[in-house]
Amino acid sequence: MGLKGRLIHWLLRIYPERWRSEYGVELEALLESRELTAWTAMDVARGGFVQRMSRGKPWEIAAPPLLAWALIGVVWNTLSPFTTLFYNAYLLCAWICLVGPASATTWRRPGNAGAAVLGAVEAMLIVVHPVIMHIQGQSHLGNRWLTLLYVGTDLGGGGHAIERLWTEILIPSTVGMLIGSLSAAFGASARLLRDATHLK
Amino acid sequence: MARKSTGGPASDPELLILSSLIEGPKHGYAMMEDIAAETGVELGPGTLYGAITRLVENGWVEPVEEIGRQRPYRLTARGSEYLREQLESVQRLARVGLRRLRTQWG
Repeated sequence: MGLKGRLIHWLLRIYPERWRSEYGVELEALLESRELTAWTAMDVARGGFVQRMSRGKPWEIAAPPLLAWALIGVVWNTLSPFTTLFYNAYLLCAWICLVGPASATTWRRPGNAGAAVLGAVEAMLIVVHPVIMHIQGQSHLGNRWLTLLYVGTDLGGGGHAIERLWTEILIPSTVGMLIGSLSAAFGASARLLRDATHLK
Repeated sequence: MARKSTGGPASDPELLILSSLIEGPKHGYAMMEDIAAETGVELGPGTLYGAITRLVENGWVEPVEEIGRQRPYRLTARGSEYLREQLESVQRLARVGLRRLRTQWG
């Protein structure tokens, strides 16, 4: 398989499996018959993203931004702890990327309890996020590359993990759960309202 | 994502595909070529197949027997009815708009 073939293969992987089983072969044939420009690749990638958002399973919608959030946060903050400005910008992006899919998921499936729980968990993670940042922020005092080890030992029972458990994790988690539930409920309500209006 | 878009309903991928299929069944590549030649709008493959997916789900087009790895689609009766409604709506709007433009702006 040449470079073009590999690119087409990866572009098609953006689409959900169910969609690929229906249209994948003909889209692949179409892409092979044309020049694969940057514009074409972007168009196909965008189409795949839209299909995944509208037809994928809840975890398929939520997992990519969640993974990106975790990776970017850990890598970036380990290499160079955030300044306040970057931290706030990053937190805002995280809100949009994580709460957005929660609302989108419940918009698509208003009766899906799993999607609502997913939204709640996502928002919970964002609220807990400052704790992770706080712990990571201390890494500049010592060796930055030991950050992950530090986080592990701290949360594993050493340091002030127990004190933090209540004030910095359980309360924010509960608040996050509520916010997540609201964002999921927002998506579901918007969809139900649209359907009710549409029926009239 | 449609290139060289003229904007508005004339560049709507679904209407472009339905219009292209009036003449008979076509596969994806043939639709793209036909649309580009007739309207100047270049539909990207992702946009094309996104629209085809919606059209099939709505029952406005349906696949016919595959030719190799390409699968042609044809317009259904419901699809032609929908297309007629949309085009008549555009035609009404165009008629009114053009008349008013002539009256007000000469």
